[in-house]
Amino acid sequence: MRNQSRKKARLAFLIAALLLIAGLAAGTWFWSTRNETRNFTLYYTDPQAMYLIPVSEARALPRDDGKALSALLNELTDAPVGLQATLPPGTVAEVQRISNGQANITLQVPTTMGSGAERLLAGAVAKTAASLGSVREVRLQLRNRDGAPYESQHLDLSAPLSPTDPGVENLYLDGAGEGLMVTLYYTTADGRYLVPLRRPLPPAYRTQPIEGSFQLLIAGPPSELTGILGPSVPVNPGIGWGGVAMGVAQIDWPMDQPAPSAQALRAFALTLTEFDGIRQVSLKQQGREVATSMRPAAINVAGELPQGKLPQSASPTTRSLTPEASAAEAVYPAP
Amino acid sequence: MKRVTIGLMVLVLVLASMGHQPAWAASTLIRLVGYDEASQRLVVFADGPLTPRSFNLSGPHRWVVDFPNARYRGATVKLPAIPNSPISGVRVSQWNMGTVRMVFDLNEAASFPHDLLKITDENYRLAFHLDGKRSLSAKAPAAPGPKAPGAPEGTRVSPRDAAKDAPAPKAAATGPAQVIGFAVEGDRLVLRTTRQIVSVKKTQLEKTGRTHYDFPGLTISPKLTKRTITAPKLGIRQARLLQQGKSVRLIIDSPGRDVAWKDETQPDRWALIQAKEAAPKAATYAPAPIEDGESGLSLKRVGKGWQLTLTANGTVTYRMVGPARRDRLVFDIVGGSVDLPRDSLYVDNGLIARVRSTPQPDNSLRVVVELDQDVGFAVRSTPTQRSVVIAMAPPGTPIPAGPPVAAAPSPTPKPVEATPTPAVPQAVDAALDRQIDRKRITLDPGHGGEDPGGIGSHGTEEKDITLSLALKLQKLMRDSGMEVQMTRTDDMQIQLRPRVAMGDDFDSDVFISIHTNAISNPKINGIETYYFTPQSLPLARAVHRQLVTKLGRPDRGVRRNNFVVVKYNKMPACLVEIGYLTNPTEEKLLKSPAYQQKAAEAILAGVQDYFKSKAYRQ
Repeated sequence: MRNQSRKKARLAFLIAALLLIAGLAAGTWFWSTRNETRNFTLYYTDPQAMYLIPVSEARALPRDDGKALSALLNELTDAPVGLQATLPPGTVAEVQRISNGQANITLQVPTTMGSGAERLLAGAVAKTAASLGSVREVRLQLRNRDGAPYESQHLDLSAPLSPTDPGVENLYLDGAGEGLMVTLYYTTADGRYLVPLRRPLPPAYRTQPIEGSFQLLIAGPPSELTGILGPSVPVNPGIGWGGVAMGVAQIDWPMDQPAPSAQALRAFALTLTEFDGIRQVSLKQQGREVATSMRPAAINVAGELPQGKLPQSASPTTRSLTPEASAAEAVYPAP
Repeated sequence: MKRVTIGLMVLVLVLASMGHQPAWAASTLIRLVGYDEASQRLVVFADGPLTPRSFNLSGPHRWVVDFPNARYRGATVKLPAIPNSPISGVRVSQWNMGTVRMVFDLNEAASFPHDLLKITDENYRLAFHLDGKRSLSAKAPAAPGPKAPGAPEGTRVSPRDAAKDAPAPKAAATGPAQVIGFAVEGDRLVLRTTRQIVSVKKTQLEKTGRTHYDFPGLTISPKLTKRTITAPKLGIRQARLLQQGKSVRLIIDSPGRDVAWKDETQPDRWALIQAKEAAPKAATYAPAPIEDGESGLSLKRVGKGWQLTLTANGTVTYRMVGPARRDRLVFDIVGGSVDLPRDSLYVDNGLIARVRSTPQPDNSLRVVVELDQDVGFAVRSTPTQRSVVIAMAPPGTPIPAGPPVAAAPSPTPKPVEATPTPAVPQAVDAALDRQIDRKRITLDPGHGGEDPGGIGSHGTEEKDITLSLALKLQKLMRDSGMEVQMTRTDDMQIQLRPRVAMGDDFDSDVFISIHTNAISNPKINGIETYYFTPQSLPLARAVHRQLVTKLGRPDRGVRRNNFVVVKYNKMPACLVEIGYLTNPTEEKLLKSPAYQQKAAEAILAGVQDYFKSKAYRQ
């Protein structure tokens, strides 16, 4: 009698344990497949395939970083209007795993690519993955249309790709002289998207890098890039530099100029708040403020993003600068 | 009265203390202890004479050396095991107030002879000969005055050769035949051996200017395989040793094919002497250019000072680190790479004690020059920006004049679209052409075999275009006197790293990878050129400029990127994308032999511009 009751108790315990394990597994599966709203940035290229262009969005994505990243990478094959895909059409991206900040990604690419296309692909994948926050670098494996692994005949994939690799950054070197590099925000040729571009500051502005950035921004992109980039702020000689006061960059706005567009204001704010000492820009007409902006949360927004601050470009040069700092103290990065 | 007595007592005490300097202050200062790998000596650097006392201990075996009346200020507390010796470690410490103790931890009972060398009144060196070449009897200090290095001026600094005339160790003579030393000594490249070398086989590789000497039945210390020697004065661009099965191979690369040597054999050494001077340089308007691939440290006596030159494989700049101190100069070499031994170089010339280097996280090389005395100094970049010259002289004497001062050290390489190639005066143009004649080029036609590369809308395969163009370029370059190696001459597949290795093995002056581009958008067209290392930028720029000018296609710029065939090369390298196969217009052009010929001519012109510009700058 006693033995029977013992057996029953053991059976009940076993069933309870099995139910607990099954419940945990189901919970984990449910958690990982459940979506949540996440911020991310996808990287496409301009129609001339010269530069990478970020498009930020906040949308429901799987909680699991691997699944979320797989979904995002597959979107790089289909660009928004006015941009071009950075992954060839038909490419299938799959994230094998993410561990210790490294994402192992397999790309099944149906076509062969030249070095230019591979450069854009590597940059877009590394930067898009890094936008999720949990990925620092990417180990990429390429497969052909049949799914067989193949080695890139250009890229060095023996080391993980990083969003700061050479060639990933949008860089323009004009021969004006090496030295202090600044990040400016122009637009694509059709004016739809802002494009971050790093270029050297002319020697005349080495001691006033913030004003120098402002002057380069209102002058528009270099003439060699006509057809690729366009000006992001109105071309009006009346727009002037009003200096910096209490961390606010002042811009004199001419009376004959209509109020700045949201994109122009964003371009001013993004360009000038690249400097650590600047937290806000203020546009004034005869001393009266007509527009003001903190650093925008994103460069190009494809949807609604919660309020937040976009990280400044990962440039040691501009990061070290403050309005008081001497340009001579800047670190000079290699091109 | 009582006050007067106390005052007198205090006065007597003060006078007594002034008259008798404490033993601590009067003792000899030991600044540094280090191991000189090449001469197998452990060197103690001191500011006065040392009188060591030694004794052996067992269980475990130790050999203890005490330096009475000495104090220790060195940074090294413990040296690691010393290869080819019974020493498993050396510890140095201040044993008591007046004695510095060195403890040699040993695998077997041993003691080592030493000698004391007086450099100046304030600089002494006590050297323990770990190969047991000297008797234990202490020698009288050598004649005062700086000891000049054995190597001729302009030769890479080799460690001191004080023991070069010593006979081979008896113990070693009965052991296996081994190479125990490899250095430049005076006008010779010397292999020190434990036994007389009886057989040497010489092989001259006419095409590459490389000579092999094979020594059967010999072994080599693994350390020596890591050493490369550069001695332009001996006509040696680079010399190194390899263990190949049961023989040792000495590989010598010479700058030209007209350099010859004769060898001589002695019981404990084998030496090479230059038999014929290298052909005089074609151009005499400038100092002999430093050949690509030569890098390292050289030392030259100038007046009462010394000039230390660090030459890199590429363009370099420097930055001083911290203020100059009495006992050391510290600076970082930025860009390029400098071949320096991992261990310290013991210069020991009375002014410079040693030079050591450490790679830094930002890829610069930190160089520390440890000084024997206060010096005046000046640091300059040479106009070529491949060398940094540190001129030093004792206080009160003029600092040796270095080469012409370059523009202020540039902290970053020139930007991509910088100034055009400087116009070369006609008088030197012919001489420059003669220099270009001798250049070696590796051409790398992209893709091949099962890898077609990009494919055009009409089915044109990249591998065929690149090979066809490269063959045309090969002919043009050979006709202009260059030596050309192709990574492939037919439709075969070669991985990327072997292509780079082929360029290195050929000792190429430049490496050019030829590609055509492809992208999903057929509207995109134009020419792109890629490079990776800063030293490759001038080449990429020169070739790109000619391609854009001669082919008249859109300029998509010179870009730095992470491509294998431009990343790992020892020489300047670029990858040219001469058009988009996926653009119908450019596909048609790329298929055309006339367009390919034009592209080949443009690349040749770009390479010539690069060499002329480089030689002119030198």
